[in-house]
Amino acid sequence: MTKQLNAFLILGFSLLSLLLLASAAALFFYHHGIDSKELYIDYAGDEKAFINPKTFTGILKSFSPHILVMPLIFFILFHLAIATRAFPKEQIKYIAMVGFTATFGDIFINFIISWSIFFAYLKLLFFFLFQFVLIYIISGFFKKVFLER
Amino acid sequence: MKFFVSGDIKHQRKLVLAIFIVALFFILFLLSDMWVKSKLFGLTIHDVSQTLLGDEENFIEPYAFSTLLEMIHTDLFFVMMLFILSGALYFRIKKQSKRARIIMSIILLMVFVSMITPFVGLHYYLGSLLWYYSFIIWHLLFIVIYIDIIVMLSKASDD
Repeated sequence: MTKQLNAFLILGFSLLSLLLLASAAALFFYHHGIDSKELYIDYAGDEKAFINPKTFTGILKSFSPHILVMPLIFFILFHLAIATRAFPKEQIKYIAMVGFTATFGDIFINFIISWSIFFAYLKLLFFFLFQFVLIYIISGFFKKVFLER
Repeated sequence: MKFFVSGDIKHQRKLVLAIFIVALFFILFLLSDMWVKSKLFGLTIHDVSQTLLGDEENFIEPYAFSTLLEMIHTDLFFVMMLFILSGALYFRIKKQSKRARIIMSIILLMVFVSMITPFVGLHYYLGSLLWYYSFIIWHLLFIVIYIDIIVMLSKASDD
C-alpha cells in the first residue's frame, strides 16, 4: 500500500514538473523566440530596431528565483531517482553531472549572452539540456511504475 | 525530513509540533493566495471572466497572456512543493484511508485543470469557468488536508 501511495506522489510530482517545464518553454519562446539571433538581440539590444539591451538588474530579477528553484527541482527529482532505483548506478553519476552542468549553465549564461551570439547558442543548448535531463529522469519513473510492475 | 521515511509521526512530540506549525503556515499561504488572486481577478466568475477576456463596453483590456503565463509558472512551483509535502504527510498519517487517496487525486486533477486551461481555453467563457472553480477546489481541498492533519496530530498528542 505504501509503495502505491509513494508511486502516486512521485507520478503526480513528475506530471506537475512536466507542466512546469512546458510553461518554462512557453515563456522562453514567447519572450525570446526559438531563434538564437533573436535571443541575442533581446539581451544585447539593437539600435536599428530600437530595442534596448537587457539591464543587469533585469537579468538579476530572473536569476534570483531561478537560482533557488532550478537546483531544488533537480535535487528532488534526482533524489527520487536514487530512492526509486529507476536508473542503474553508473547512469546516476552521469545524470548528476549533466544535470548540474545544465542547471549551472542555464542560469549563469544569462549574464554573458550579450557578449557574443555564441553564448546565445550555448544558452539554447543549456536550456534544452536541462529540460531533457528532467524529462529523462521523469521518464525513468514512468518506466519503473508502468513497465516493471 | 524524517516524516518522509518514517511512518511513526504520532509518537514524536517535536516532530508533531513542527508539522503543526508548518500546516498552519501552509493554510495561511493558501488563504493569502486566494485573497491575492481575488484582488487581481475578482471574486465572482463574472469578474474573473471580465478581467481575463476584457470588456469593450467598460474599456477593460484582456489580461496579458505573458503575465498569466508567468503567474502560472510561479504557481506551479509552489503547488508542486505543496503537493509532495502534503501528500507525504497525509499518506503517512492516514495510511489506510480511502478519503486521503480520493482527496489527493482530486487535487492533482484540479491543479492540472487550473494550470492547463489558460493554455488551451481561457479565451472562452467555459475556460474561465473551469479555471475559477478548479482553482477554488484545489485550494479548499489543501486546506481540508491540513485541517485534517492538525486534528489527527492533536488527537495523537492527547493520547
